[in-house]
Amino acid sequence: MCSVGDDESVDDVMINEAGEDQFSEPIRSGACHKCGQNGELYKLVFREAECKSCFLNYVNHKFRATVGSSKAVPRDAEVLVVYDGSAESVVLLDMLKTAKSGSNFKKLHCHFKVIIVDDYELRNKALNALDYETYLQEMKDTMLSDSKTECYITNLRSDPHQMPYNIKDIDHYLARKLDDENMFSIMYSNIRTSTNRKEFIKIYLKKLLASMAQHLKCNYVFIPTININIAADFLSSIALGRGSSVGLDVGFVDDRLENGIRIMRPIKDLSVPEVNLYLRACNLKSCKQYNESSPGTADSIQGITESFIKNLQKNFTSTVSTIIRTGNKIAYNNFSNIHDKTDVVNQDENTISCEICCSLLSGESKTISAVEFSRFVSERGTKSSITDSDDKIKELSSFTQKRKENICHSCKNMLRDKDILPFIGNV
Amino acid sequence: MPVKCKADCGRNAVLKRPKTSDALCKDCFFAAFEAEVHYTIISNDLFKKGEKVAVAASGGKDSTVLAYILKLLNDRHDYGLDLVLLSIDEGITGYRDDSLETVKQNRDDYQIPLKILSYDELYGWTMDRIVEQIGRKNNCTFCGVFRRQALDRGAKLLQVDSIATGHNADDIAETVLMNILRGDTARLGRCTAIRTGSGEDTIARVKPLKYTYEKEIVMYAHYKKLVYFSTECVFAPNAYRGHARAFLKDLERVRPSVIMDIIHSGEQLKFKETVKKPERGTCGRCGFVSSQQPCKACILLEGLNRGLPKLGIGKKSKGDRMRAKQDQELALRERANLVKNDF
Repeated sequence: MCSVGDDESVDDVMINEAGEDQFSEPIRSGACHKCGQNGELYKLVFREAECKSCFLNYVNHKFRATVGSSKAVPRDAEVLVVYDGSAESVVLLDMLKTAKSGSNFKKLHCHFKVIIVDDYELRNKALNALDYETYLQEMKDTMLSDSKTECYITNLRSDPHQMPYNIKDIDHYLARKLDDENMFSIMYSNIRTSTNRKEFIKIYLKKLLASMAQHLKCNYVFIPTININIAADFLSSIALGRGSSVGLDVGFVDDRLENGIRIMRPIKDLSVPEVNLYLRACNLKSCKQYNESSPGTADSIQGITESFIKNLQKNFTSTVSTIIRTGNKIAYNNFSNIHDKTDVVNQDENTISCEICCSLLSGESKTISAVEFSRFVSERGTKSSITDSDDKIKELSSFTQKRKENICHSCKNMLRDKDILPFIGNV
Repeated sequence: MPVKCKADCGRNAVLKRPKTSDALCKDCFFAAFEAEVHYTIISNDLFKKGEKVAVAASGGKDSTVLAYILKLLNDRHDYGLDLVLLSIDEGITGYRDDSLETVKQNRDDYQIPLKILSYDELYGWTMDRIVEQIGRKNNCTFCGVFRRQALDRGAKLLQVDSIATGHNADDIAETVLMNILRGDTARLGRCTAIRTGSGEDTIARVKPLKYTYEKEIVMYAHYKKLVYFSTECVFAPNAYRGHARAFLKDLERVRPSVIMDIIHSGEQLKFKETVKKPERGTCGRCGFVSSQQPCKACILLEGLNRGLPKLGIGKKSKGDRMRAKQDQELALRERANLVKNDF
């Protein structure tokens, strides 16, 4: 059955093929379309060229609008801001400082601390060969340049129970015992598939951040995720079978973690060009750059998805925004109500979370039953054909609906990789 | 050293199932494949005893396997179904005319009656002529919309209770991805359903091969030596769907279970209450199922008949402007003719 054309024309929807403007120079000179001032102009797709000041107003407003419209950050909230040296995290930190500055009439009333997640060794294959000390020194210098901000550092391989180190005591951090972390690295590299490695570290990082927030008495964590990361996360989650919890991957707040810490994405509406132009406008630079030609992007679901979106975005400029808009229409559960339910006995089936990723377990799925049934008939071979009555087949397949443990479908898939089992205690 | 069949039958395996990675011999594969389709039918209550079912037959691998296996399971498990093949002749020279020969062969082989309906008799247009008008871009839109409605028309004509289509797991996973990329939440919400359109005034469509991988369908057809037509449409699509298809193939290479995982995800998606849902109704012009007035098929047909083939492509407002402009021009010409006649 030909399924091409079963859906309506692509022209019906918001997919804009890249026009000439897409490839035009983002930096120009001339008069600002808004204020008429002459000088360097910043040009974004779908926007008129504007001067530095108008551009910065625009991106800062985007950030404030995202935080404000969510109504999820109360006055005087204690926020932990994740800083990993990437361009996005540099921009997030700068925007936060701007939003907190006294001159701004839309002042953001919150107190923030910064946590540096040192992922250099675990992800160094994906980074340019920067010297580790230089990398840390740059991060330290950036942080210490602002004496008002408390800054801490932890390692991505750390035990979540380990307190983070104050950046001023970086020597203590460098002199810490590395036995457990080295063991973590060995076990991590033993996980066979790149998909599972990435999936595991994503869950682990989230739990590590929640734990660090708890140590530092913060209830909110701001992560530097921008629109292309969210689009890639959304599609990857769909491909990994995480449809029931995908709303939390694209929304502003992710509140599924057990300790009630809320992870937030305040710059989720920013795009890569906006981040790059912001860095230029504010004369900032990132401490690390991901090497786009690094190997390993085509060997995982996440890597393939990311490169697919990047390539499609080049030809269809609305790709990322359309994916995000689709994601924003997906409903998700409000976990704060669920976390309040301390009486475990009275928890109904719909409020049981996965022991690994903390997403709510999905209900009965005929698709999963079909896969289990396939495994079952493969083992029975010719015996599975004519002799079984309908009732017998139903009975044989009913075991698939019985939940043996509180682990979601996607995490079960991950656990098929036996090398991941030693980590389960950690997450 | 040859790999033994997973079912411990003692025979050597001839294939590795992509869904479960199990190595099976030919006989055990046939048994497992047929048991799975049977399981899909009974666990989803796709048919009722005594129903008349139209099998949408294009002559391709999916519809050929579907017709074969429905006939086989109907006899084996006594479903009591009255099967009929329903083919749509889009009027594509060098493609559909050849594939219809395969369908006729299937009719004779499986002893199932066949009804062929053509775009020409239903709409007064063939795809060859439509492509002459619209070109190679967007032609799949016409073909898809007309085919969907033509199947409904055929089903009504044959007075069937449901239409069984050959959509397989790959098709459905691809559609989930496609609808996310297009931002089409209405279709995203219903594309994973195994049964659609089962209202009082509509004929249900069912997908018995929903959980069957395309690769397994090809292997089944190959080992069963079924006759099917494997040439791609001559108006080979430059469709946006191609991107989703290529993406899915890349994902499947890394993790074969990804197809079922995507379908599972698609089934689990729930939309916010604020998201507008289309209301299923019937077209005021043709009386067939539609969620808009008039239906897409009627708009496309109007465009073709007016000499404005792009009328139904793109935004409705664009179409309305095109229609108004043409009406204005016609009115002017009419007035000019009246003036001429006065003299």
